[in-house]
Amino acid sequence: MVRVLKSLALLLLAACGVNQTPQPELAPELPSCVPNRDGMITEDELPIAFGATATYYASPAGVMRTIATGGTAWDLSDEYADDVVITLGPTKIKDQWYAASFASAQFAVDAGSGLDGVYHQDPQGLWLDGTASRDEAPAGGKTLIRYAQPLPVLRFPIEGGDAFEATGTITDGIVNGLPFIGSDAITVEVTGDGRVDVPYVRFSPALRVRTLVTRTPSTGTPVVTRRNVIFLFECFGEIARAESRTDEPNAEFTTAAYLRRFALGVTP
Amino acid sequence: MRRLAAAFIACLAGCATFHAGKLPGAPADATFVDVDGVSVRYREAGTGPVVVLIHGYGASADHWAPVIPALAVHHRVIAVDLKGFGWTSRPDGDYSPAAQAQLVWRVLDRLGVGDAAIVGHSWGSSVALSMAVANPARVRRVALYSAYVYDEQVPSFFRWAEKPGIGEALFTLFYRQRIEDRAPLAYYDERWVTQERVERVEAEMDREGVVAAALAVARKHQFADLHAKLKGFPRPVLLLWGENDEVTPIQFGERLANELPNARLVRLPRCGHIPMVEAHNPSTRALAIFLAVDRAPSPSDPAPASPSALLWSPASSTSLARSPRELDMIDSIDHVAPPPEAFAPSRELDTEKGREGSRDFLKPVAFFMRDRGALPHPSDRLDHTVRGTRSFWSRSDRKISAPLPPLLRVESPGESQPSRSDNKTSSSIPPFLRVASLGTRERGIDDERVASLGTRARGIDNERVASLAGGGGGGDGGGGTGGGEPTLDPAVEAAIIASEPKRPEASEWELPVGADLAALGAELTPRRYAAPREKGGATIHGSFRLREQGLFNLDLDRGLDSRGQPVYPVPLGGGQMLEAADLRARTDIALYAPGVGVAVKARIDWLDNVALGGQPDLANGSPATSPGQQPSYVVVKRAWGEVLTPFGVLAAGRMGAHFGLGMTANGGDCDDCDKGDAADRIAFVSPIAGHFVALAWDVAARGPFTQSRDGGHPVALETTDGASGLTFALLKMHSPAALARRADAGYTSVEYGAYVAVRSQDKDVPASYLPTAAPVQTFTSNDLVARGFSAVTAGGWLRITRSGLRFEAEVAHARADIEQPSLIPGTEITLPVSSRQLGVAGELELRNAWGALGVKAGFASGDDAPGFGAFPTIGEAAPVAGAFDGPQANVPRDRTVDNFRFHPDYRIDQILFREIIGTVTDAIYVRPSASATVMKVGKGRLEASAALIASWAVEKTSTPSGESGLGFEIDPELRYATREGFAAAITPAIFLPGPAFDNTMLEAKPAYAVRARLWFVF
Repeated sequence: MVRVLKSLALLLLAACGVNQTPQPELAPELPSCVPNRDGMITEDELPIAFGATATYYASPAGVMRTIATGGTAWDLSDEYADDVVITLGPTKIKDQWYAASFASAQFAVDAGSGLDGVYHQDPQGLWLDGTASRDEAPAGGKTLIRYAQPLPVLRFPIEGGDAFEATGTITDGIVNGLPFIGSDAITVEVTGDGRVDVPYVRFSPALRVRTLVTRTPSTGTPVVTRRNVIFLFECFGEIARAESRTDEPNAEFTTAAYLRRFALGVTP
Repeated sequence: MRRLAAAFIACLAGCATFHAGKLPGAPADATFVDVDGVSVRYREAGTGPVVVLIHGYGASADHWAPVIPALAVHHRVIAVDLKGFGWTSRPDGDYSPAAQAQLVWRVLDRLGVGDAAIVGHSWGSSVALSMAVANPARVRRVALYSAYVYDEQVPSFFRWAEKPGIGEALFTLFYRQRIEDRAPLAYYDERWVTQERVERVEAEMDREGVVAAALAVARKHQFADLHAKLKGFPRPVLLLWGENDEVTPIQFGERLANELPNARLVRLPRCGHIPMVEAHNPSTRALAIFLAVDRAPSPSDPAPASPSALLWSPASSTSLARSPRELDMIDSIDHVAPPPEAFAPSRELDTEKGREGSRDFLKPVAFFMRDRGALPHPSDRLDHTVRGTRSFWSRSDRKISAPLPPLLRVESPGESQPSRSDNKTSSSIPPFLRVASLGTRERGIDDERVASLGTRARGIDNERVASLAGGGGGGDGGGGTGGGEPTLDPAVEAAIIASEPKRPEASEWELPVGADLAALGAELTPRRYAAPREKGGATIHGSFRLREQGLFNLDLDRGLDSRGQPVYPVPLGGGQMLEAADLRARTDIALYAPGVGVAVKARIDWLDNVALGGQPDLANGSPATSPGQQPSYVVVKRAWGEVLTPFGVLAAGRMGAHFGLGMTANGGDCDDCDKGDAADRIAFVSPIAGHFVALAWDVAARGPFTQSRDGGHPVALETTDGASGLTFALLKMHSPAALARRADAGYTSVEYGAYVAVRSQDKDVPASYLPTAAPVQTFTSNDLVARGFSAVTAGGWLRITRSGLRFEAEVAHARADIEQPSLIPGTEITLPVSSRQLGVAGELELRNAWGALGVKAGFASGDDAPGFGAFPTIGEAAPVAGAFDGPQANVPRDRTVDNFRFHPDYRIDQILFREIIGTVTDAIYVRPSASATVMKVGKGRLEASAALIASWAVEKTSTPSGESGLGFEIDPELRYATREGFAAAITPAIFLPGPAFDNTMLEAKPAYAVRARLWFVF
C-alpha cells in the first residue's frame, strides 16, 4: 500500500521530470552471411563483426589435452572440468596503446598469455600485422612485434588443398621487454573439410588449417617451432584451436599444450 | 474397410425406420381418422365452405394455428398432418405429393367433404396442387404460401439423399441437427425465432419415424409431372410470398404466377418463408379475401355498397374465375410492397418523425462496441446489426439495410388519395390496408407501428384495427365504409388480430466470439434445406478506426536492463511522452455463388494500422513541406472459399483462426485488436450429434520457393521443411441469437469446445528467414538442416450463460520438442529443446439493465530463464539476470521454453501487458471491473467502466529485478456508441509498477496512457 501511495505521488512528480532511462545500446549488427556449406570460406564468409563475441572453453596453462586432429571427423566434444571459459571477439585497435605501431591493422584478437594478435583483412586474405601485449607495461615487460610485411595467415578463398608459406621479418621487435630481431616463418596447409564436434554442437563442413610457425632469431637463441590446428566454419570463424608443444615434430600431433573450443550457451 | 462402411450404412439405415402405428404422446384432444392404414391427425374448426390447409416439409397442422381462427369465422377449416409429419403415423410407403394428395382426399371423404379450397405452404403446395390436378372438380381455388413445387428448388442435399444408403446416412446424421440455426433461415426477422418455436420443432423431430418419413418425402421431390398436369389449370390461385424468402426465393413465385393461367402473386415485404407468422396480418387478410368468394354472406358482413361487393356475393363464390374487382383487391394487396423507390430508408423515416420511429425495429441492435466489440468476421454479417453480438452465424445484413416496410396508404378513412404504387385510386384499396400514417397518428398509433404494419401489425390493437377496418368515419359501427369501399368482415379482422403471433423483442446480450471453426460450419449449413438461388449475392461489412494514443513514461524511468535495453522505447529527445496514432480501414466481403452453398470470403484492409502522419510525400523536399501522404498498400488478410456439401462445409484458403476467448488463437476481430490470426487451412466442419465436428489441415509454413518456369506460381523447393499439422475440434455452441433466446427463456446454456492440434516439421531451411544484412536469395541442399519439431496443443473452452450471467473459461496446454534447435546451417546442436506450457483464462460477468460487474483472471506459465520471453528475436543471445526479455532456452544449460504466451489481441489491460510486455506471459493476473450506463443520448448510449488489474510474475527470475510483483493498473473508460455504427471511446490508464521493475539504482515509476478511439462501422 505504501508503494501504491508512493507511486501515485510519483505519478504527478514524474510529469515534470526528465526521463531517467537513457537511450538504449545499439543492437549488434545483423550477421552478414548464412553458411552455405560449400566447403569454401570466402572473405564475405569471414566477416569482422566488432562487438560480436563468442565464448570458448580454454585449457588452463600447463595442462596437456589429448586430441585427435587427423582424418575428417574431429571429435573435440569432451568436457573438462578444469577448462576456463573465455570470450573472444575482434576489437578495434584505435584505443589500444599499440595502435600507432600498426597503421594498416583493423582489429585485434586475444591471442592468449596476455597478448593480442593484430590483424587486417582484405580480399586476398587475413593478415597478421604483429603481436602486442595487451597492456603497455605488464609485469613481465611489454611485447611488440611488428612484421615488415604482414604475414598471410589465411588466403581467400579458403578451401581444402590450399598451401602456402610466408615469412615475416622483425627488425625492431620487443619481447617481454627485451629487443628482438629475427623472423617468423609460417607454413599453412588447409587440409580439407570435415565435421568438428565440440560440446553439444557439430559443425559441418569445417575446414582444418594446419600452421607451422618457425621463429628464427637473428642471433643467439635457438629456432623455435610450434604447430597449431584451427578449425574454421563459414560465417562463424574459429570453432576450435589446438596448439602443440614446442618443437612438435608430428603434424598430426595428439597432445595439445593449448586447446580452445567453442562453448555453447556458456557465459564466463 | 468396405465391410465396415457397409455396416455403418446399414446401421444408419436402421436408425431411419418408419413407425406404422399411432405415435405415443399425442395430445388428448387430438383427432384422428384412419385411412388406408394411416392414422391421420387433423384439426378442424368453423363451419361453411371447406378450406383445407396443407403444411410444409418438416411441419404440421399446428403451423397453421395463426391462420385458422380468421378462416374459421366463415369456413370449415381442416388442417391435416400429412403422412410422416405431426401426429400422423409414418408407415413405410409412398410419400410422394401425389400419394399425400390422395391421402388427404381420402381423409376429406371420410369427413364428408365435397369440394374445398386448398391452401398449401412450401412443400405442402406440391401436395395442394397434386390434390387439385387429381380432383379438379372438387377444388374451388388454391392458395399457396411460399410454394416449393419446382425441381430447381430442390437443394442438392435432397438430391444426394435420393441415393440408397447415402440418404439414410445424411438424414440420420444431419436431419435433426442445428434446428436453432436452421430456423432463422425461414424468417426475415430473426426475432420471430423464439425458443418455444425451436423447441417445438425439435420435439417434432424427436418423434418416432420422423427421419425415415422425411427421407421418404425428400426422395419424392420430383415435380415435373405435376407441372405437366398443371398446364391450363383454370382455378384461381393465390400465391403469397415473402419477398425475403431464403428457402424458396420469390423468383419461383414469379415463375409460378406466370405459369399458372389464373394466378396472382402477393409479395409480402420484409417477410421470409413463414408468411403466416412474419406477415401474418396482410397474408391472412389476403387469404381471407381470396377465400371469401366461396362463402355465403354473413349477417356481420358490411353492406355491399360498391361494386366491390361482388367480392362477397354468393354468386362469386361459385365462380371459378375471379371478378375484376377481386383482382383489384389482390392487386392492392400486392401493392403492400410498393416499388423500391417508395421505400424510405430507415434513417430518413426516423429523422422525419423526430422520434424513435424505428427504434423498435432496431432495438436488438445492441451496443456492439461496448465491451470487446466486434468487427465482424466475414461470415458474421449480421452480428452487430441485429443481434448486437459478435456472431458469425449471421446470414446476411438484409435486416438492417433493407428499407423500412412500406407505409400503407397515407390517408385517413374517407380520404381518397392516389395509391403510391400504381396510381389507382384509394377506392381500390381495402380499408384494412389503409393504415394512415397521418390518420393513425391522429388516432394515437405511433409511427413505429405504422411503419411496421406491413410485416408486423402487432402494435395495432383490435379496437384500432376494427376501427380502421370498419372505416371508422362511416359511423355505422363497422357496417359501412366512409368512401363506400369494401371492407373485410370485422369478425374476420378481429380474428386476424387476435390470432396474430407476438414477436418477442430480442435481448441485447453481448457474447464474446466463439470458435472460428464452428463459424465455418454454422453459416452455410442451414442452406442445405433451402432452394438454390438463381443469382449470386454479395455482402460487404467493415469498419474504419482511428486511434490516438499518448504513452507516458512507459519505460518506467527505471534505466536499462542487463542487455542495455529499456523496457519500452525511450523518446529520442529524452522526454517522457510517446504517441501512437493509426488508421485502419477494414472490409469483410462475402460473395455467394448462385445455388445453395458456394461462397468466397475475404478480409481486406486497405489501411492496416497505418500511422497517422506516416508515409509523408516528400516531393517538396522535407516532411515539413509534405503535401500529404503517399498511397498506401492494400493488405489481404484472409481469403477463402466455402462449399456446402451434403456432409458438411468444406472450407479452404487463408481464413481467420479463433478459439474460445481468443487466448490462444485470436481472429483479431475486436474493435481494438491489432493483429489477428489467419491460417492457411483446409477444413471440414459438420454438425453431428448436437456438436460441430471439425477437422482442419493447417499449413503453418512452407518454403523457400522458386517460381514455375513461366513465373506463374511458386514452387516449394523442399517438401520436408513444411510445418503443418492437423487440428481436430469438437464444439457445442449456440449462435449468439440462440443464446439470447435461451437466456430470455430462462435457460442456462452450457457450451464447450475442445481441440487437439498436432504440428510437425522434419527439416528446415533457416537461411530463408534468418535475419541477415542481405537476404539469401538462392538455396541449395546445403541450406537444409534437421529440425525434428513436433508439437501437440490441446485446449478446452467452456461458456455458461443465462440471463444476466456469463462465465467463460479457456485452457490450453502446449507440448513441443525440437530435436535440433540450431538455426545455423551446418551447425547442429546435439541436445533437444522442449516446451511445456499452460495457459488459463476466465471471465465472469453479471449484467443487468444498469450495467455490469465482472472479473477476469488468468495464468500463463513461466520459464525460469531471465526475461519474460514475450517476443524473443531470432539469433538473440540468451539473456542474463536482469534482462527484461529474450530467449528462454540456452542450450545446454537451459533446454526448456515453458512460458505460455497469450495471444496479444486478448486484451487484459492498457499498459503493462498490452504495451510494455506485449502480451500476458509468465504471469498471474486478476481484473475486477464494473461498468454502468451513464445515459442514453439519442440513438446512442454513454457508458462508463473501470477495471483494476493486479498482476504478478510466475517466475521471479523472469523479471528485471527478480521480484514477482508486477504492479497494479487502473483502466477507466468512457464510451459512447450508437446503433448506427459509430463509437467513440476515451481510455486513460495508470500503471503503478511493482518491485519487479525496479532497477539497482532506480525505482520504477508510474506510467500512464490515454487512448482515444473513433470507430465507424458499416
